[in-house]
Parts: sequence; C-alpha cells; structure tokens
Amino acid sequence: MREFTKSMTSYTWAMSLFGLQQMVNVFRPGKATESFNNVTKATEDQFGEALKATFRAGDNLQKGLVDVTFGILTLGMFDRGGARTTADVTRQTGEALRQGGRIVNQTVGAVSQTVQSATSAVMGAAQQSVGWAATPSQSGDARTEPRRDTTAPPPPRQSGGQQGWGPMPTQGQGAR
Amino acid sequence: MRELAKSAVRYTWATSLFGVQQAANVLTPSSLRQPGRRANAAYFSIKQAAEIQFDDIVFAAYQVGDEVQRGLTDIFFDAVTLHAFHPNYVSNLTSAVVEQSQDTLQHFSSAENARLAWQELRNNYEVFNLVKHVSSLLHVPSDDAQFDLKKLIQDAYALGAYPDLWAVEGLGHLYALTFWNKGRPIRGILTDVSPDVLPAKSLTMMHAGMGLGFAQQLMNTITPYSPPQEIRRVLREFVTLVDDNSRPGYEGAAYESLGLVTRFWHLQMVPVVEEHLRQFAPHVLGYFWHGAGRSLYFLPLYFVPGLLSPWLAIEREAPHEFALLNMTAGLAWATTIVNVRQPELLENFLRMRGDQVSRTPGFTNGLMSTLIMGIDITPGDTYIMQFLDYRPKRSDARAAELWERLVAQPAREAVHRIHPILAKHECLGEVFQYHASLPELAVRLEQQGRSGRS
Repeated sequence: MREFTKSMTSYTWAMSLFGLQQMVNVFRPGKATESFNNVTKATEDQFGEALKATFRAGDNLQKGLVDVTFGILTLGMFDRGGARTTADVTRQTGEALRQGGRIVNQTVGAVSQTVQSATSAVMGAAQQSVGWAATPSQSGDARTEPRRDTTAPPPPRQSGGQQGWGPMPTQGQGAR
Repeated sequence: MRELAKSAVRYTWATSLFGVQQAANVLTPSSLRQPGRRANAAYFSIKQAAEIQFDDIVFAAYQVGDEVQRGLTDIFFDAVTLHAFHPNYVSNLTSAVVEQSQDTLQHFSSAENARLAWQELRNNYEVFNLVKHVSSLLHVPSDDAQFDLKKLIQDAYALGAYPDLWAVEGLGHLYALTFWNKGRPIRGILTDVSPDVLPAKSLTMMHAGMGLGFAQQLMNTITPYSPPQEIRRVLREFVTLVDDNSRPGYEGAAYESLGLVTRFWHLQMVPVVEEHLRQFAPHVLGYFWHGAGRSLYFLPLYFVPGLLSPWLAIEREAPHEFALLNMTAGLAWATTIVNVRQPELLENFLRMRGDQVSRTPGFTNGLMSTLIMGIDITPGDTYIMQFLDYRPKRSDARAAELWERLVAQPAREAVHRIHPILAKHECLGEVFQYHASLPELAVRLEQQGRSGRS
C-alpha cells in the first residue's frame, strides 16, 4: 500500500509537471507534439486489448473532429478540399462506430476474464500462503537466466532520455 | 498546430483511459502477494516517459517534489501503523530535523559563511554547465562519422585545468554513444586506440564517461518491475561492455558510473541493482556505491548549499557499512574536486562537518582518490598544487588540526607518493572505489611488481 501510494503520488506529480512543461513547449510546437506522443505511447503500452481498441476508436474520432474544427477555423470547409475532409471524417466516424461494436464484445470478454482471473488469484494466494506454490524471487534464479549473446549488438540508442538535469552531457541539443 | 491539437487531445484521451486500466489492475491483481505490482509498474513506465521530456528546471522540481513526497508518505504510513510513535523513531526524526536546521543556520550564520555558500553554488553551476554543454563547448559534430577523437581531446585539454576534467568525461560519454547505433557489437573502443589519439592522462575520465554512456542507455530499458531475468541480462550486458572496452586497470572508472546513473535517475532501482550485482558481479559493488555517493552531490535536492545537506542524507540512504564507506568516499570525491580551486570551502566544510567525517575513513579516502584522479588527468594541475599548499587562515586550532589530519597530509601523500605508483602499475581504476588504505594498496602493488620481475 505504501509503495502504491508513492507510485500514484509520483505519477500525479510527474503528470502535473508534464502539463507545465508542455505549456513552456507551446512555443516549440514540434517538441510539444513529440512529447505528447511519447507519453501517450507509454500510456497506450499499458492498456489491455479492450482498452487499446477503445483508445484507437476514440483517437480516430478525435482526429476527424480536430480536422473538421481546423477546417472551419481556417475556412478549409469552403475550399475544394472541404468535401474530401468531410468524407474523411464520415469514414473515420463510421470506422469508430464499427470499432465501438467490437469493443462492446471485447469488454464483455474482458469482464468475464477479470472475474475468472480474480477467482484464480484468490485461489493461488490461498495456496501460496500455505506453501504450496513457490513465487519466483525478485532476483530470479541464476540457473534459468538466459545466456547473453556476446555477439549481439546493443539495444537501439534511446532518444531523449535524461535530457534534464544531471552530471551528463546533453544529447540532441547544441552542436550535437 | 493541427498536429499539436491532435496530440494533446490524444494524450488526454489516453490519460482518461489509463484511469480505467489502473482500476482494472488494482481490482484484478496478478498476485495477491504483490497486489499493486501491475499498477505500480504502469505508473512507473508512464512517469519515466514523462520525466524524459522535462527540461532542467522542471526535472529538478520533479525530483525535489518526488523525494519530499516519498518522505512524507513514509511518515504518514509510519503514523498509521503506529510505528512513528516508537521512542526511537521520534528521536531519530527529531534529531534529523534538528541537525538539518543547525546545518542551514550555520551556512547563513555569518557573512563569510554565506559568501562561501554562494561560491560553492557558483562552482556547482559552473560544473553543471561544463558537463551539460560539453558538445557545444567542444563543437562536437552531429555526424558520428566526423567524430575526431584526437582533435576533440586536444580541444578539451585546451580549455585548461579544471574544465578539462569535466570536458574529457563528457567526451568519453559522447564517444561511447557514437558506437551505440552501429548495429554491431561494441568492443575495444578504448583499448584499440593509439596513445597518439588517446593519451594516458585522459584514460580515467574517458572510461568514466564511457561507463556513463553505457549505463544511461541500458538503465533506460528496465524498471524495478521488469522480470528479474531481464534486469540481470541488462546488468550483465553493462559489465560485459565495460570489460570488453576498458583498458586493464581502468574498468573501475567505468563501473562506477552505473551507481551514479542509477542513484541519479533511477532511485527505485538502487536496491534492485545491488541485489543482482551481489549475485553475479560482487567485484562491481564497491564502485556502484561509490558512484551512488558521488551522484548525491549533483542532485537538485542538494544543489543549493545550506538548504539540505547530502552529508546528512548519506547515513539514512546507505543500507550497510560497506555502502556507507563507499558512498562517503564518492561524496567526498565530488565535494573536493568541484571546490578544489577554493580550499577555504573545504576548510569551512570541516568546521561544520568535521565531527562526522573524522569518524569515517571514507572521507579522507575519497579526497585522496579524487586528487589522484585530478593530478593524473591534468599533470601538474595548478589548482591541485595550490590546494596542497593551503593552510587554514583563521585562528581556529581545531580546524587547523582537522585540515592537517584529514586533508593536507593525506592529500600530499596521494599526489606525491601514491599516484605515481598507481600510474606505473596502471591501476588507476582502483581509486573509483573505497579502499581501507590507499598507501597499503600502493605498497602491495610495488611488492607484486617486484615479485613479478624476480
């Protein structure tokens, strides 16, 4: 509970500051867009299948709505591209509704899975508490550790990453 | 603008759904033994993604706020579980608050102390800028193919004594990263370079910088909630990269950076990394804790002298004596080298913290080690020579005694006697961890050298 509270507060604090950071970034729209996309991607990675589908459906819908709004604001609805924009929005909305139908089905599946997994978790815990099932330790078992392929190249370089404060040179800024 | 609006709405939508996902994570725990694990892991990943987007000031605000909330949460839960009402708990908490208040008052108790605190802040800021902007300072080309190591090292040394040290470390970091995206194994990047390109005097901090680069890239790929096998694989990868690319005797300089990166940017990973290293690479542990101690000096929380002291935090953070000795040495290392141009800052430090640091050999060890590194990277460094000749000006017998015993005499021995031996035996990586006695290490090396020849 203590760790959970710390994680939640830490997350809330980070998100508040992220909002502040994005207000500063508004004068650098490219950077602001990239930052939003990075955090959104990290958030999306945490979703289960049902929520991923919901997210995509809503995302398609909002993209269409933003296009329409910008079209109106920039008078784009009245030029030759207007008809295409309207058609795009109609298509995206139709797609969103179709996805919505699929989501209802997936959600029903997810709820029943949730009930099943909660039941099995309770059963599993009851077994663990009497020593029936060994939970892998945090450190894992050295014998099961996969061998490192020393000929393999390293993972891709992280873009961004520790751009902020610290005893580390900035990457991607200045001359580099 | 349109893309920005779409991204903003998309982000808001994702954040709203994340609440639903977290509710599901809490209601359906994968294990009742660790019910919050999945939710914690999700919070951690998104928090880390946001953290990466922060600029300097926002990151500093985040880190300060985060450390404060963690402390307050602990106090809250200790109070709820009645642990906080234990007499020892109350006395520890009270003494911590009193000690910190005393420390702060001392810093601003006189105009002279305030002036010295201001000078220290300026030093910290200068070093921060030197490290942060090394690529623009040295005009490092953005194209990796044009990275001319020989010229860049010459440029780093042209900055003169003091900036050169930080510039060489930054260069080591940037140099290591030029190999990261090439899609082939990284081997021999510091071993297969001729002395003409990579002079011996640059080796310690080039290795330290290389370690920073490797640790930075690899630590971003794991979280405290990653599978243990994955954490072990990544740490093993780090150790192997250091071994494959370091000159014999300099590995320690690169290992140490793992502690610095972990404590600075991945606080929750510190106990996890220690546990894994203990099992598969115990020889790296001393360096790891040394780096963790060194990072404390640069944390935003302790950046402004007098507000909060890392010297008080270190005793709370170190989980055991071995870690405490190494962390103390690491913190002393940073404190000394950042302020080496104004020895009166260290004199004032001894006046305030003399009792604490004279109780542990870690302080003097860190001081000796950093001077050995400093004189190795800049032979004949004028600031270090002036530091050796410094005598406390004030008529304070106690400060004079502490200076002579904890600083002056060990510093002279480190620079004049121990450094030449470590350099001769190419063992300078050893100064990146705590040693009970550096003079004994030097004697041992000499004896081994003699028996090897005979």
